[in-house]
Amino acid sequence: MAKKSRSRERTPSMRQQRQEAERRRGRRRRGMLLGGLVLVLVVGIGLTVRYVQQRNLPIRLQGAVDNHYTLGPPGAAVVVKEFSDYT
Amino acid sequence: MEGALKRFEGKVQFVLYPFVLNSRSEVATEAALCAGEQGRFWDFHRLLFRRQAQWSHIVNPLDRLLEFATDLHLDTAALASCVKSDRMLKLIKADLAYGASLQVQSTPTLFVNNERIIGARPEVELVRVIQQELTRAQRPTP
Amino acid sequence: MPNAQLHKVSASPHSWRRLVMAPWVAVCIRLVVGALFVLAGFSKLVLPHAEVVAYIQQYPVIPSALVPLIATVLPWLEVVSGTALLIGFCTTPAALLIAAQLLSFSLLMLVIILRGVAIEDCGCFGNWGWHETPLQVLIRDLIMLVMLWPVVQRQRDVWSVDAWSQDAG
Repeated sequence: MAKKSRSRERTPSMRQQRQEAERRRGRRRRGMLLGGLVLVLVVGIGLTVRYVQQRNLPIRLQGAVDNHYTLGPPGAAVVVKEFSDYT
Repeated sequence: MEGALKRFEGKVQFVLYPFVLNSRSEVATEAALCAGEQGRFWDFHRLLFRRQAQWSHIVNPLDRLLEFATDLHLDTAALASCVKSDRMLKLIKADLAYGASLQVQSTPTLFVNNERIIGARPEVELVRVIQQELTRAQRPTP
Repeated sequence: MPNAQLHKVSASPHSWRRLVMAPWVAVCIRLVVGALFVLAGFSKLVLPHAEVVAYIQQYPVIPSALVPLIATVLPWLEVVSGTALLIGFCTTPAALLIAAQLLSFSLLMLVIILRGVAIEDCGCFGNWGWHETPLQVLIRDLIMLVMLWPVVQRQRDVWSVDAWSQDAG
């Protein structure tokens, strides 16, 4: 009789422990997912910012030659634009 | 830069954008652009760099720059009047804005087509980058 | 009374330790240091790569072959480690990674100062306003290094992803 009552006591707490372990694993997975998502979001924002900056550069570099002093032929395959200061 | 340009004569165009960083440079740039009205921009431009130590520390270097103009046999009265009228400021401000739009932070900054080069670099490096861009430009487009 | 006096003397270092190890202190440190690193990283990401290269080239002790690689990797390292610390995700590894960066920057600045290399702007925050000299950077980074100690010690805190995911409930 004593043995039966002890085994009855053990079974629910083992089940509880298993459930608790599952819950903990679940929370850890959700935590990793949340943290990972935030990092991916931030990296995504960084990549977008860099892409937008660099995409616009060639467009802005075209033209803007008028009213400036130049050397060499217009329409050359390579254009060197120099921004300089005299001091 | 001019040494590098001589090597690629006819294949490379060089465009200068004054990117003024302080009031002394602003006066010098106005003087160079005004000398340009008398057809002597590039001579004045080279003189400003060659004699940089003689004028760049002076708060208002106009008088010193007018001495340079005399050496180049320019009409100094016209030059002085041009500088004092500030009519070159519009172009200077436009170039500052253009440089800012390209995120130019320091001088000299060069763009060899889309390739950005920052700081004074040896001629051999400029030649390499120009050659690279020429090769790229000569490749047939797909 | 002797017991009361003994209590008063021994409470002083303990109360400092309690203050430093208080949860809210670690949270504030995480937020400040994490945010600074995120800002530093983004301030370099918005710059053209060549500009970041130019900033790093100011430091002659860095081998020139490594400069482009550092210019590419450093902003991302700052952003990712700063974000992880800010949200308290993998807090201890993030804090250790940031501590490693702070230690490297501090050593670099120390060498620059000892060599007498003149640098007007470290480039730590790109062109977002702060222009710091090597000495200012050294002091700031050493302070942040010390500040990170409670964060590393506590391992898990309130207001963090780690605490939320580890909460036994």
